[in-house]
Amino acid sequence: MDESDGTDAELLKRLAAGDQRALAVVFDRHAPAVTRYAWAIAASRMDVEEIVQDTFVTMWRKSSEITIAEASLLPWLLVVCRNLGRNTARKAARHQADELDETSTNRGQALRDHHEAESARDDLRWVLAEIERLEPIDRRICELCLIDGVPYAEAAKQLGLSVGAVKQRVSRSRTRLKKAVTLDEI
Amino acid sequence: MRSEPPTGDELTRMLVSMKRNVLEQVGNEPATAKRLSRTDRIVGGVLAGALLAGVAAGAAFVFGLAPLGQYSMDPAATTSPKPVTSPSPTPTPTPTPPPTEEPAAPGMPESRYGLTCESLVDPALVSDLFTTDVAPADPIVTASGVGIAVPRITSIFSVGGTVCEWSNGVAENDQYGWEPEYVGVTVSIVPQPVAGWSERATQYGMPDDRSRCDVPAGDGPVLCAGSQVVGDAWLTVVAHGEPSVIDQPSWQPFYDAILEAVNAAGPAAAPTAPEQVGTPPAEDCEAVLPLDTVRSITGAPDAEPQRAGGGGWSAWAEARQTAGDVGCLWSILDADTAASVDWVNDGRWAFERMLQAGTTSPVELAGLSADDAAVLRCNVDPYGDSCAIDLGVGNDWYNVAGTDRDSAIALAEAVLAQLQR
Repeated sequence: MDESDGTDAELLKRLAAGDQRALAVVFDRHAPAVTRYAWAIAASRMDVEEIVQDTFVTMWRKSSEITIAEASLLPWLLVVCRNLGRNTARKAARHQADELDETSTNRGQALRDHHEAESARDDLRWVLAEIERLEPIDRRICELCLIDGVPYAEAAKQLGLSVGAVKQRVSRSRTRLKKAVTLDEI
Repeated sequence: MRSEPPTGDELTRMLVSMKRNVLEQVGNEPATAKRLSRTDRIVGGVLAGALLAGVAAGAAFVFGLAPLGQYSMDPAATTSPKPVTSPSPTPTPTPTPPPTEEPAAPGMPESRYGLTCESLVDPALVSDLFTTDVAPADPIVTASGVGIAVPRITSIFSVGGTVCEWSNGVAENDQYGWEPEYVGVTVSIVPQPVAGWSERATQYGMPDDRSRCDVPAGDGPVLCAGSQVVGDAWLTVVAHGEPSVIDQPSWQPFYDAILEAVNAAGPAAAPTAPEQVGTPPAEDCEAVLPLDTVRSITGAPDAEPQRAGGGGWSAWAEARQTAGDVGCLWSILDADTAASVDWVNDGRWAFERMLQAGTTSPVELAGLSADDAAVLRCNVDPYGDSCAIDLGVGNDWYNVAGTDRDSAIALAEAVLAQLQR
């Protein structure tokens, strides 16, 4: 990940301070992956656009509350994107249900549940490369949340994360970056 | 979807459009929170469908998803897509008129620190910061050249703070993203409220302490920013421009000189106006514009009043709250904004300065008295048709926005009627 504009943790701090330029940087960094994921889970291009936009607006609004697992905001963004996608699908399903009887609606829901469990991995098909490049804990967060359906906070808990641990990792990330810069200068 | 996700130019256009919408949406929080209208989304969807159906590439840009608050005086600019590397939602820069020698206007509160922009910092240090020419600029005029909102820094003046800008004269309003052609630096000094920094500021860890320059990896501006408490002042300094026009080694001497000047200015004089603590409840908006009126004018029976919120905290937000300038908005299903009203108490002076940006046109309103003034600012097609009416009423400035010209006018007339009650 290109960290020359700051690590995700640093950008998150700037977001919480109301820095819109940080939002622009985070968008440039992660929107392509979020868009590809949304493309897999949404029913239409219009839905994709709405879901992606709402994902980043949600990040802006909740920026002071977000605790990222390791070094990347991407797992959090993908989880929010998935949740917003589900909400959009539920709204569409409610409209369709108006024209269906209860039995067929229940059957449809069961089929959807089965489909969700079966296709969760498939939904990630266009963001596998990005996930593969994540730190191990961030990758594990993606697996737990996006494939196993574990809530983000629960996944963080399962992995034994704490605020202190996150800070330590951010510090480590900075050190890595500094080393990289130094090496480049040599 | 079963189809492959877009790539190349198609993905680029999609990302630029979404980014513009996101920045526009958050840009108005907590200032005015004018989010995408339902109409804009529907139009966007239709256009997206048209694109999928094979309409010429670039249609999304030419007819595009229109963020509220976009403004351009140059219709030709609307046919020129901005490069994807630009985070700015601004369609085109609007050159500002030459800055006035002294941006003081009748009624403008004096700096409670006794600071003037002429004496704040050695002009040589300003020149050193840039490799191109910059000159003193009026920050209200600069920001009013873009968009239809009240410039955020206005409330800093209202609370007796100081805002100074030196720029190359290109219009820019950070509420709408950064303008690639803009080069400049803005210094803001916000006095601490008598009751102490607000709960929101504390919650977000503000005022924070930082001073650094960030260099983009690819295209984009160098952003040098500093924030610090100096005595009872919250100092923020932001400089940006293309990497070739910012002399980064000169940033720290420039910033240090301003720190020294603010420190030397000593504590702020007592406020001259009552200070507001916290954000008033949304119910208070009924006095500004009754809910039934909003629903009737906008044709949105689900519209509900809200106070803007979320998205962190900053010096201008602190000043806006202290000045009691937190506006109202009415949204539908917590998403689409039907209307908004912002104001600057005792801000008629700022209204007059906003006019100097040259982005308004006169408008006649029922109920407007001879001593008052009203002007219209609208988005230019294809950037949507949302509009705002700026009202100079008595000593105050009101900014009333609707999703189109007619609704903005009707809402503004309703606000006038409320003010006369």
